[in-house]
Amino acid sequence: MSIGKKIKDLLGGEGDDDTARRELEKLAASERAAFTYIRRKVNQLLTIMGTLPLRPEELSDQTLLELDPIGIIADSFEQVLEHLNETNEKLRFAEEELQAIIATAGVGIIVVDSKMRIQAFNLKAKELFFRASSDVRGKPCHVALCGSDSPPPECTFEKVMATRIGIQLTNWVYNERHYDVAGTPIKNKYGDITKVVLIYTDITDRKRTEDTLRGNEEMYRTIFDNASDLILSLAPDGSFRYANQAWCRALGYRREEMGDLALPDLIHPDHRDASLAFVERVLAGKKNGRFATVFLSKRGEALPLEGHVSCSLVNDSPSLVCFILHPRRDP
Amino acid sequence: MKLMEFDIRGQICPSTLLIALKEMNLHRDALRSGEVQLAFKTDNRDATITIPDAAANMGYGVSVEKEEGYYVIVIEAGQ
Repeated sequence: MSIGKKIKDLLGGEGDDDTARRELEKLAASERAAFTYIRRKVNQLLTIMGTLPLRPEELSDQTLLELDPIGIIADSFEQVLEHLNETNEKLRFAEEELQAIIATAGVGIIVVDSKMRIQAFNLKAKELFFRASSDVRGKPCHVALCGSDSPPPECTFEKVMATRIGIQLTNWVYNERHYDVAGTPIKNKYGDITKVVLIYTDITDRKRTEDTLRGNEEMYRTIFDNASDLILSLAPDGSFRYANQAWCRALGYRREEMGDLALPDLIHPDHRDASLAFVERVLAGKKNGRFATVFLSKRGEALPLEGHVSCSLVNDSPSLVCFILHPRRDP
Repeated sequence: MKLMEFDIRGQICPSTLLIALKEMNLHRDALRSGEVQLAFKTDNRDATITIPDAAANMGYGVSVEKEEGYYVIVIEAGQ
């Protein structure tokens, strides 16, 4: 039986062979168009998945339907989307966490774009720099913060943009307060800097304390160096930390020579064991005590000294042994 | 943990990826729960990129090891 007859029978016996042939050709054309469409869509999806398109000879039309690549990729996309949703949820949580940390940080944080315009800042930055200002978002950093038309010479932002790496600036002064400034670039996937994060740590109190300590140290050094008593301090391992001028004069050493010496080198051999045992007891917890021994000068002369030894503790551990001595007075 | 092995040597892209995707879809629940690992043996170098990329986009952990004359791509639950 001819195909035309088959089609004619399917059509209910009406019409002739030509009509049937035309219907068959229409059906075949429609099927070709459907498979062309399916292959085009399969190839589109395969390309999105990052692989090569199907070659015409690779799969017959029948195998294409049986393999169901559109179904496979659709199921895979469902997993991709599920994973993206999970990732978005984690990112949202991480962002909230980060926002909370930034908001409550004890340092001022300002984010500026590559044109130096302020994009965001935290509460501490507002408290430090923008207390009296209305919203400074969008304003150039040098205008809102430094109050100048152009960036200052030691501008952290400009250094970050020039070097393209993180920069630390110490002791930046603003309104009579001192700050350590750290600038960190944020780059896009092409390596271009899109934002710079500036972190301001207020070091004013620390700096004042350091200045006070430095002043005190200078004052005590002056007092010690002008004292007639011989003053010496040792680290717990016996190395010299300080010797005043009276000590250096009496023993004949220059101060820079003291670093090469150890306490046993300076004690007369007849008194060495007892003196070192005494120092050990001071280090062991007997925090201070009267001390008498005979030192040896650089020229080998015996130098009987007496006085006071004390031990400073830090966190209950010895940190410094201090001798304040004078020539022994004969009984 | 059960290791399911698939030898797809002789296949090239995109068939390699379609086979791997089909198995990842079929064993989706067991993969995510860590009950199974899927190991694909392939001698198609492109597949060592396309399959791991797709698996990573779906949230799975992937490792690729080179053996004598072929590669083994192992897919398992992600972190």
